[in-house]
Amino acid sequence: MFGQRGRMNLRLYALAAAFAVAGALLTARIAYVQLVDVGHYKQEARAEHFGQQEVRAPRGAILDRNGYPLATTVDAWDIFIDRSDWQDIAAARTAADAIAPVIGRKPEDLVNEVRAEASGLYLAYSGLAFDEGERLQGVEAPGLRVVRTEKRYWPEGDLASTLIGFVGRDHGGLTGIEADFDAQLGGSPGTIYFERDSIGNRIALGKERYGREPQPGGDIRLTIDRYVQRLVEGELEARIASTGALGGTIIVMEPQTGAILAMASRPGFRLSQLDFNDPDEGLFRNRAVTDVYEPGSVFKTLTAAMAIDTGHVTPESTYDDIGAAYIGESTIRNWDYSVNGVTTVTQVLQRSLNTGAVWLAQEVGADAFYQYLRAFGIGEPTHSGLGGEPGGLLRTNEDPLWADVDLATNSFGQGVAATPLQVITAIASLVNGGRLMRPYIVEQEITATGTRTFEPVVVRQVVSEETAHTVADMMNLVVEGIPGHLASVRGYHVGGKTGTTTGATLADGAVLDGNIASFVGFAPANDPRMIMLVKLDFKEDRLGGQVSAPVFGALAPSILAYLGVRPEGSQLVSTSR
Amino acid sequence: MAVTAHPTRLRVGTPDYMILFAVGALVVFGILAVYSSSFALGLLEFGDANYFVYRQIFFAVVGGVALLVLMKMDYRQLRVVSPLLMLGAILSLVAVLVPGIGVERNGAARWISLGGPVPPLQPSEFAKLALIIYVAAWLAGRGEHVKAFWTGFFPFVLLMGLVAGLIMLQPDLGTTIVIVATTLTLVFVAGASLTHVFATAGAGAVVASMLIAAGQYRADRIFAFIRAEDDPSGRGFHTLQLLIALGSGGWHGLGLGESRQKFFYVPGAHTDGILAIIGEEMGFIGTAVVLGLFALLMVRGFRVVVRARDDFGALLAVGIISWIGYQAIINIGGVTRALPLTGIPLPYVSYGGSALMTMLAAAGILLSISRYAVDPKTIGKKQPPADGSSEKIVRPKRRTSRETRKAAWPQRKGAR
Repeated sequence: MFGQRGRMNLRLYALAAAFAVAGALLTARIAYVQLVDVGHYKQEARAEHFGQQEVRAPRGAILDRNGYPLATTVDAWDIFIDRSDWQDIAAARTAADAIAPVIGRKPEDLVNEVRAEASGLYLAYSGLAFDEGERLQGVEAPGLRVVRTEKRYWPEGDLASTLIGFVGRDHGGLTGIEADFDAQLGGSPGTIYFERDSIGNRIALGKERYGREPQPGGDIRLTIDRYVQRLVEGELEARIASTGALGGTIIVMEPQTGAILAMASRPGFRLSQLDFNDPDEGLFRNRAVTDVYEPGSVFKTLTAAMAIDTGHVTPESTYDDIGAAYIGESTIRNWDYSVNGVTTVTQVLQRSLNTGAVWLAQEVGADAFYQYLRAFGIGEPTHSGLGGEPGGLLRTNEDPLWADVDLATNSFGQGVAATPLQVITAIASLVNGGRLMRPYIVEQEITATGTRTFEPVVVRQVVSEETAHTVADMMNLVVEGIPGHLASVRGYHVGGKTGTTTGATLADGAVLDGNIASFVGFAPANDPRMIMLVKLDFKEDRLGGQVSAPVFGALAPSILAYLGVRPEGSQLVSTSR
Repeated sequence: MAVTAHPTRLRVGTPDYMILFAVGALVVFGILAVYSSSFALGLLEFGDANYFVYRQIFFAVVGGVALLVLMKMDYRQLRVVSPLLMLGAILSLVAVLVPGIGVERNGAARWISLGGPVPPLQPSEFAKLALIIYVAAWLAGRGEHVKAFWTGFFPFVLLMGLVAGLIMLQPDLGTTIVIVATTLTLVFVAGASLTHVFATAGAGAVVASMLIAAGQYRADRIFAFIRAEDDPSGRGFHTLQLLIALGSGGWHGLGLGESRQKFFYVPGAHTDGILAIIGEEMGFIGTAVVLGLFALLMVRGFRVVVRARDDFGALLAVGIISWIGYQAIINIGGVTRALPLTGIPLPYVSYGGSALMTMLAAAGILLSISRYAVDPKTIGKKQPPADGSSEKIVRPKRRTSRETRKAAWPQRKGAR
């Protein structure tokens, strides 16, 4: 069988040679792969093994003007359940009994929802409070994953909800200040590179390094005062409840600076009860800034200021009120169809006479009237820094569709639309020596790199200081010249002007046959520390002087006292409330 | 057939310790590599990082005992029991196909579950060894008849075809290739007609091609071998990940336990792909050590063949080393993309109880043969005188032509 020379015959030689050649070839191949091509494969390995993940930067806080936090970020937990671990029904029931009570769910519901799919992670609860999450971590439950996260916390509860806004699941701001100042609050995320397995999970002992360190977000200090804001929101809700209003807006501003002390609107949302399934999308906006309305008779103060500033009239100038003004085909009457005979400019404001406003506007002339309106900031956004600000609706005599009657109606705030913020800003210029301030709500940005403080900005001198003082005095007389005016405040001189127009705007933007009762007032009259706009929307006819003026009357003493304005004790003007 | 039921006791020497060393070193190397490459998978699938390594150690111990027992035994006793072994192997290969007995994993019925804590066994691994023993015994008894077709070659082809067919039914192409190659090598070395051998090999290749064409997973493997880059995350994934593991090792590797590819990138990181992980962690130095140990095993294995006391021992040794060699070549070829992937474990190193235990038993047989080794110069001569003066035997005159060598064969064996 085998060869004569021992056993090592040709065939065995052939076999041995075949193995030797195969072994040599494979060794050469391995050497090539490991020693020659090593760079290529190392690069492929790196490309494959390193995952990249964004590391969220801690989000900054939103503070009130005194530094009290309105929104801040706290540590919390996301509760996940690994669906595959719950495929065993007994294990799922045991785990559900342990988990469900902590997150406020029914064990059966939880079991059903988790087991609806065979694998993957089920988010059982997002943003569980820190101590409760810590407690859950100690619970022995299969499939339970407790993951560290952050959530927004509002130390003042639902205060200024629509103003502050909220963040989404990705911790990015979606509405309100959270959205408008998202870049400052959010900081910039870092990136981390880590070694991962083929499923994408981080390898336990793998290397990791930061590509970029996360830059923490800065704090935003608002001009809002939490005390004033709370007063305003409480009063607004109480008034809406007691008057049956559909909604309303109150803005409180510092006239000398344009700083907004409080801003509230209803309907709105509550941060503690966010319901993203609410069909009323209109809830998620700050109506004081985003919604326009016909300002109505408060505009007469602007018209009067123009007429005085141009020198056409003085507060004592008179015209003969015949109860109507005829503009082409149109007839404009007073709101109460009154006929007042010879009337002064001051009386036009006091009685809120439409015919008087038309007279004043005609004295001024269309060109000057619209120049002044634009100077007052009507028709352009105030650039307060709040998102969603429209310019409003204003048709000037440069528009081909403009008619003479537009000047007449515009003179008493109709046929023109502006936001509550635009209106209060325009009128604030009259109590600030004619200087139109840019309204602002952010006092400071406090970031890691430094603090940026926003100074008040004078947009322009609209009317002369003298004119402004004159009109402010007239507005004082509007309130104090009428005994029992509901805006009058015991112990303080105040000024103001009512407005009433038809056309309440509902949450969905539809305009109803209803009306808007508004009031803009300021106090103290000789050195105004605050100016307030109150606007209430009604389905039925209500007068600004009856429903909105009392809101000012009720709020002003508390706010003035809080601001440290002493009552002028001996000079009580108003004796009745 | 003149098989002696009770071989006369012969002078017993020491086993080839180099073989023992090579096998032992490969097993220890394998246990380390299995530990490193499997702890992530063990944690993921069984919640126990040591799941695979403990089992591998257990199999190594059981296999080691088998090795020692077989080494101490006279290998010629295997010749007596070889028909029984063969029968048992065929029965177990049939049993594995019976639903209820055979356990199916990944679409292949390759395992028999014995129940209890005993891990499922893979009869095809034992069948390989049984077939080698039986064919070696059969060929040794057949002598010059292996050249005849009907009485020599044909019965062998029938047997090989039966076993290969049973294994292809599981299906397991890689094991079938190893079995066919090993048994063909045996008849080739035993002196069968070259025409028969190569015709059978050719026919086997044709059948294999047809099977590849018929089975989608086999076609995918061929595709992965040739055009892996066209589908790197699908059909080419396995091939490319093996290469990335191996290639990123460089000279000295990433360090023990530092493999990244074992985190579920390399499929079968602890089984068929283990050399890639060794290469990744220990670099070319590590793979060279493995290759060197196999080379040592093969060289010493051939030495056993040459020095074997009888033809049965020689053929048995040829079968065992060919089996080890083919599996190593096919496995390493797959890992290095020199051959298509067929799913063959690396002998002694890869995780797998049946394979490790059978391979260790085979090494025990090889060592047993080595214990009865004689000086190759005396083969075909009378046994050396008791005084050990074998050097005095006159070296036969060299015959140059093939005819004369053939003519010499019948004179050589007394066993017939």
